[in-house]
Amino acid sequence: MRRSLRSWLWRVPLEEEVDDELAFHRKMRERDRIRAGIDPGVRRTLLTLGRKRDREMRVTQWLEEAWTDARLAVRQMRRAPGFVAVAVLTLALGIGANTAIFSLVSAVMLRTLAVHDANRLVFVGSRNHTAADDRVTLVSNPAWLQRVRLETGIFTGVAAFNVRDFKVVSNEGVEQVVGQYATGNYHALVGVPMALGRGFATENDFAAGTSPIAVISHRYWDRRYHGDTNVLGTQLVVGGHSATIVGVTAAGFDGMQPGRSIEVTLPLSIRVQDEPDFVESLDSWTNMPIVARLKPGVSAVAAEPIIDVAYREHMSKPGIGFGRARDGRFMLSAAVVPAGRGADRLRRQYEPALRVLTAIVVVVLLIACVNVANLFLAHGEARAGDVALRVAIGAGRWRIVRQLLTEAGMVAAAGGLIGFAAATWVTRFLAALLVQSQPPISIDVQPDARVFAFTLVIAGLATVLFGLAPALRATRPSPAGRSAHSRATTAGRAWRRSALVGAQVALCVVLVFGAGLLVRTLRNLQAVDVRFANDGVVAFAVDANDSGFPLERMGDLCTQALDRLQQPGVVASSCSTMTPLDTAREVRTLGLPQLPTGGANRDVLANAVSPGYFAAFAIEPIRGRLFTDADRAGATRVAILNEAAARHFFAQQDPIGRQIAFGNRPDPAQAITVVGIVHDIRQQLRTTPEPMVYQPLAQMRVPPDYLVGAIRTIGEASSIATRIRGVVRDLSTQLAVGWVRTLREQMDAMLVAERLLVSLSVTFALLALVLAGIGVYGVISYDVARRTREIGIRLALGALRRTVIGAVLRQMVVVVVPAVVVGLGGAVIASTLVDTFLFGITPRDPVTLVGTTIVLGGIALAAAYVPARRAARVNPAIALRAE
Amino acid sequence: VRVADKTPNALLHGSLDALILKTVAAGPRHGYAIARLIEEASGETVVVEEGSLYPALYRMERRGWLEAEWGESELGRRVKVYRLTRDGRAQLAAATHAWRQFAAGISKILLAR
Repeated sequence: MRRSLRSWLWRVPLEEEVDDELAFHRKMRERDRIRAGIDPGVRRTLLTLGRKRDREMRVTQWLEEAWTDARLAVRQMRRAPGFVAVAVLTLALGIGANTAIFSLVSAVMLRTLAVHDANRLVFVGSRNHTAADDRVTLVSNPAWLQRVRLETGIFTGVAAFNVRDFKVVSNEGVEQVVGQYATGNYHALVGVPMALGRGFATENDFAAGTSPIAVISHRYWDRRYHGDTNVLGTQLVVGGHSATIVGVTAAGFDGMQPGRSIEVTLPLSIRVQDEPDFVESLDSWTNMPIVARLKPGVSAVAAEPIIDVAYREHMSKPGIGFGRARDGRFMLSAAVVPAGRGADRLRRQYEPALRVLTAIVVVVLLIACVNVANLFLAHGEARAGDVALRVAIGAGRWRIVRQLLTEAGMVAAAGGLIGFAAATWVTRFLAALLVQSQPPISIDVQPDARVFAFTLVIAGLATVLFGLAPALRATRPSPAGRSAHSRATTAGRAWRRSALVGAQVALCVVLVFGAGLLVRTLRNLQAVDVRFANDGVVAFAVDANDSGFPLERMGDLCTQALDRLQQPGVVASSCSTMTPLDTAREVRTLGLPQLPTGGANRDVLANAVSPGYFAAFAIEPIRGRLFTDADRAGATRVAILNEAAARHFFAQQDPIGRQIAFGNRPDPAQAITVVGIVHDIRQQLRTTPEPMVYQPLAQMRVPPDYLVGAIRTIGEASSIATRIRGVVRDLSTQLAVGWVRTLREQMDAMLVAERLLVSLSVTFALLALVLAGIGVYGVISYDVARRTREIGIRLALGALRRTVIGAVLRQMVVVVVPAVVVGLGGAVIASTLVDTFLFGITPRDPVTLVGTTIVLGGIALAAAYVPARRAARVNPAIALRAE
Repeated sequence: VRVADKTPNALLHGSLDALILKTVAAGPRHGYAIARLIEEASGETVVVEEGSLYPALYRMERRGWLEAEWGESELGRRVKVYRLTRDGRAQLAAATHAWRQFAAGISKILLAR
């Protein structure tokens, strides 16, 4: 006690003491040896040997032992290259899968913006406290922004940005880029690092007519200017303005909305110039996140009530109707939330999918570890003699455990390295897939220090998971049992391996069940009766935003394009502001008729369509009539409802001939007559049809800035698709075709996340099945081999071969059935974590439960049948003579 | 003192401790003398390396089986001298008993006709 205390307090003198003692020992030894006439060479080796062992007392010695262990481990592994390869690859699969998914999680959920002191940045938004979720909406307008800026007691500054697509015109044509308007203090306040030039500085936010400037991102600088430093001062024709480029943001900062890489930033004053109403209107709200920097010592939580007081006061000004229920109650409250990781749109969108993926890869890792543990256990038995020898010559148990753990650690390290390399490749592939989704999602999945640290932790964890138990097992102090092949100990070992295989089967059940749920979800989504024609329909979008193209000519242009695309086989064509499956949607409030039940939702989707729309998508009228060419501007304003709208707004009454009107306080002069009802279609795959009001495109008061042309043909849709861009270019050089795709392609794009999950989960489930099958086969074969003699005796005594097969299969049942039961229980619990992702099934889907059981049962039966038949073929005479 | 219920392996491993205890039981000795005495007494069949000896001595000192004090060697050097404690004596008795049983067991097998 005294000594250990002293050694702990005062390290060096103790070592000196030890040194003294050892020096004396060596001196004496030397003297005796010299007397005995040992030659100096041997003496020197003895001395070095002695010196080596001295370090038993020191910390450095630990490293030396580790090195020895590593070298020994390499030697051991060379002797069993097959075993090592399988173990390393299995772990690489488990670790790689986890690393890949973690890179995504890290990029989507965890990454902090690469700006100065990101933790003090907050968004000022609002929550609807009457809604079920506490989702924060980041809408604002200039008036509210100015109000927030008065809160100098809690914020050092307040900025805002407004993300939107810009069109950049250059010699190469029109290009669409993701851009944003930002207030003059945006770059300084957020602390955006610059690669070149400056950010916005003195630009007035709301005074129109200041000379336009632009800041571009590093990505855009690379792509369009190939990193040319002369870019500063050049002009960028964007959104109909010619702006001088004053700066390039540093690589790694792509705006504050993860998933949307901002390439061009313009001052908010340009939007003011384009939309003079923007500054004045009190009650027009736009998706313009307000970002503020907290004063030192002020927390987001402390700031929220202060802002809320200001918000309620501001929102009670006359003329503001936003956020009020029908009874006039104000439903919103201000929210101050951390902005260090950017706006959470992407996080919200991908969280369910990432949760599913995380669950899958964790199970994959567990399976890999169990499998490798089993391998190590088997390998350990083969090496039992080796271990026994080392124990016999005086190696301590901990020393051998350490040696075995070193081996495990090296296998894990190799697996981790391969897994990490594979993961970087896989994430790049996943990122490429995500860019294909609608709208495209660009995330930076370059593996960073965080991901690498994660891999290290996972590899370490795996080492303990698969290495520790076999190591403790192999070194259990019983040298007698080690050399003798007593039946009792082998039975014990078989039991242990059975338990591991059982665990593997149970985990496998979880994966197979999960994969089954996902497959069924995808199939349900694909089998959704969308109730519109999606075969042979090709659609294209024309977007007049910021193009300078006169909006009142949009309808004509679209019709002309359709005329030019007319060719044999075309059944129908149309122009509309919304099309099925497109994400563009316009939600309006229907003020007339009064709803039978007060306070219910009065939102409708408003779609302006040309007369051919219903034919193009094969949407059938239920009552009344469809639109004709006679429903033009100046004629009686008419509308068609879908079934959902008719049901919701008119209940049992007949809507035909009734009046409807938009807006909270509708003007009866603006009323529109309902002339027909058409059947519901699925606008999105996962959502049931929402109420929709169709209006003739020709009767719209506000001309559309975005139209989708759709053509249905019985011929080859692709031949039309290839002509579309050319036709639109011939009609106007100002307009850009946003996208061209068939409805089939659009459907596929909507299911990118689901297909990704299905393919990953099915792949992993198949791998897990193979591993589980091998596991069951291994355990049963081992058991049969061990019992050859017994089986021989039974057969010699007249047992039927059928009985022998039955006995062996029973062995399998004992292992597999409890495992499947446990696995199904775990699967049902785990699946509730992912139920937001499922479609058309519950997390306890009985079909999938039964299917999983059958698949696992079949695999286990097949895996056990092979050794069972071998058992039945045992020749009693040979078996009895064998020992 | 638990010895009898220990596994044979631990006994094998712990036999150095027993040898040291036995040697010191005859009177206080310094480390080198202990090593030499064991070697001589066993007819040089047991070689005690310093790398095993000193860790064992420190361990046993920590467990209270040995006491150490600084003394002077035959050569006039400062040297640590170990002495058996009461616990150490009990431990020696227990270890001897356990060894007798173990050896008898092994002999029954190995020397059986």
